[in-house]
Amino acid sequence: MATLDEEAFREFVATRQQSLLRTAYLLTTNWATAEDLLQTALTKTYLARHRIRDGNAVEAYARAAMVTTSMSWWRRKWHGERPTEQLPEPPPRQDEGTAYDDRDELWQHVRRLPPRQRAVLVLRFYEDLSEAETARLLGISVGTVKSQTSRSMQALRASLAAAESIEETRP
Amino acid sequence: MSMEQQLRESFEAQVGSPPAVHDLADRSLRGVRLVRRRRAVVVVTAAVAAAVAVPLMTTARNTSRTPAVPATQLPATGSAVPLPSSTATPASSNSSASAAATVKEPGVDYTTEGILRRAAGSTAASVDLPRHARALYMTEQGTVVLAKTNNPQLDEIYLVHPDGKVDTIVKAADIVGIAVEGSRLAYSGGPSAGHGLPLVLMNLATGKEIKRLEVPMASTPVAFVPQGVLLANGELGSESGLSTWVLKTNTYTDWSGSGGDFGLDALGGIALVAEGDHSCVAIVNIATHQPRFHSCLPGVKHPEFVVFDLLAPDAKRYVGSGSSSGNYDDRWPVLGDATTGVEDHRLRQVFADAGFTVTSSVDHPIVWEDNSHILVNSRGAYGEYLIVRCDVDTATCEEAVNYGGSEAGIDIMLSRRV
Repeated sequence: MATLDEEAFREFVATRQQSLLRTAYLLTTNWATAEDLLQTALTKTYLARHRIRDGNAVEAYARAAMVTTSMSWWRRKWHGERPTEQLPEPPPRQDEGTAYDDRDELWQHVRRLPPRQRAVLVLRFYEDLSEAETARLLGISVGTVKSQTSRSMQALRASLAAAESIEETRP
Repeated sequence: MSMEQQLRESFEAQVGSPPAVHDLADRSLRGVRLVRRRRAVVVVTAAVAAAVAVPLMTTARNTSRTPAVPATQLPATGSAVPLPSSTATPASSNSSASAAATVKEPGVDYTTEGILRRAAGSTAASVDLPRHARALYMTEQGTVVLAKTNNPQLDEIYLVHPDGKVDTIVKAADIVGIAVEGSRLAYSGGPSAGHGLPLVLMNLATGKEIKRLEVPMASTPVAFVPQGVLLANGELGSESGLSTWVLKTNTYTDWSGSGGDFGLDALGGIALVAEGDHSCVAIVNIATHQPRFHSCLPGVKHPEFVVFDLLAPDAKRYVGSGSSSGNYDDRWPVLGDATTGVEDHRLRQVFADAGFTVTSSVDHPIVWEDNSHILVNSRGAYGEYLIVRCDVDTATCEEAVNYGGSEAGIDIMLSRRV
């Protein structure tokens, strides 16, 4: 993609929207908000297309826009709506009575982390970005990425251990 | 299996079946056109306003019978020009200069571009804030400000005294919310001793820490309640919940059994709670945890309650904002009766006629000015930044401040009385 004209933008969205939406969901923990976030990030990306010199960097720009926008929404405690003509399909529901497996339980604890800590984990362990890349994307130092990762892991371990001990004490 | 590997697998499992997305490119491009249109309108409007405002201001200077525009209604810098009034009320349908002269200043502190404009009663009329505010709370001691520091990891709470003196109360990482009452301040954030996420109680007057408790999940202080501090757990969403930090015993009581509830405000033993999918609010007795009533906006497709403000001291009324169109650019103030659950939507038409919208991206978009007036952080028909005052008994509104402005850089933030 040499220059991002409207046609190229549509093609980019059509081919990459599902992948981008997954990351947006992990950042927001909600499919509807994830779609809002992605739409906002794509709008920003198109508006900035003249500044994206390398056509191959469009996706990276869109991902960065998602991360920075989600942080900005969180800082301002934005819980607002975005225009949409169609409701997103609801997330798949688990059958009632089915216990969460370990991964689901872990996710429940990940969701409760502060958004910035969760973003660090998503970038490091879902996007597989290096500490330096994560730091650049979030506008923080590599040391902070390390400390946030460590702190998040510590909190997750503590949460899991606490949940386990409650489970064990149940009659 | 290592925690890293568990996380990778957990993330993959969560996003295995994303929902289908329709017309995303079209919607994004519509957003692009909307932004461009707003920018163009603001540029043209600012130019027209400048042409109108300069002669008006010259006339005002030369004619002693014409009252001057109060300083707080002019931009803090020369970059923005006040726009003509666009309110639907008769009082403000005159020219901007005469309308401005008859409108009283907001009865709460507010910020524009990092400057704190004080309500009557403070010695300092305005104060340059050391760091831009994220939230403001008016207290007897002065205005408590939650702000970001230059370090993106570090947040700060400081107190602006009535005389303009600024005292830092605390600097800590990831302060996600604060509650203030009298001289007490509660916040969540800062370093953990390893047991979870810290909640801290401080004395505003002395700056000393009084109590600390570590809780297993992210909890945001909402308000002080008779038992301690009402906390909203998690983020707005299906996993959010409610709990109380009981100060007497320094314990943490999780009491939202159903999940998905989110604390909005509390006063006098009752809490305003957004329920489940957030289409409805409930008034809940904090002592018994029992809901008194549920109230939902009729015909709402994508309901969203932003921030509610219960009216002190009797908590008989509350205000919030809602939208029935599903468009976040189409919000109006909603007045609710906290004893009956009846909601008043008359202000919707006033806002629609004037082209006003409630600005949703600030912590306190609607606050009580007194027992019958609310102040609304708003955008006008041309994207200009406004503070709109509405009389909730007569359902009429007027511009209290018109700051002009465009998409970037300018923001108005209202303070909440606590």
